[in-house]
Amino acid sequence: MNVTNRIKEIRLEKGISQVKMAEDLQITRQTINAIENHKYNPSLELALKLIKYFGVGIDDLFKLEED
Amino acid sequence: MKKWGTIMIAVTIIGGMGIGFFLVNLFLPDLPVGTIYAGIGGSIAGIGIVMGIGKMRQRRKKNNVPEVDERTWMNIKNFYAISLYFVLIGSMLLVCILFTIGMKTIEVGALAIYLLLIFMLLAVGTTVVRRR
Repeated sequence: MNVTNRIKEIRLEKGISQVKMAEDLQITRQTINAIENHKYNPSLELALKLIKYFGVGIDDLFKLEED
Repeated sequence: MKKWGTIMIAVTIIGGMGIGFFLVNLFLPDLPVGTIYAGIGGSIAGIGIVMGIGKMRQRRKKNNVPEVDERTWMNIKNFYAISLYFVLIGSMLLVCILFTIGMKTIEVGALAIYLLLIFMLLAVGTTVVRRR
């Protein structure tokens, strides 16, 4: 089962750059890239930070894809 | 806090080296004093260079993006876990090969160079993994 996310979509909708997001969340730009490209699943702490940052529900941001 | 951390690291390294040289001097009094001073001087210069480069990089940085985060730490942890297996199995293999070719003893100097090479490889590997 893979976890997918809509971070890139929501980030672009809100007009936030990767660098701005990295500064605000205190993470590296490479991490944002890895999360957006579904190569890395963020920790629960970072996932909760992302939800708070974008002001959306967990279901709007992350989705569990069943095989 | 970060500044004090760097100073503490520098002080403990120099302090540790000082204790080491004191003990060497205690047990091996014939060791030339020049070697001891060269060692301490080299260590201080090395720490100075590393701290200087760190300061320069900090000044050059345009944004407030951190150098490391949770993913970086995870990558480093994975790298160390994998390299532990490689070092252990590699060392065992090396010992087996040396034993089969008829070598009965290993010189401490050769062992020191081998360990130094491993440390250097680990340091380079950590830097590469940190930037990924």
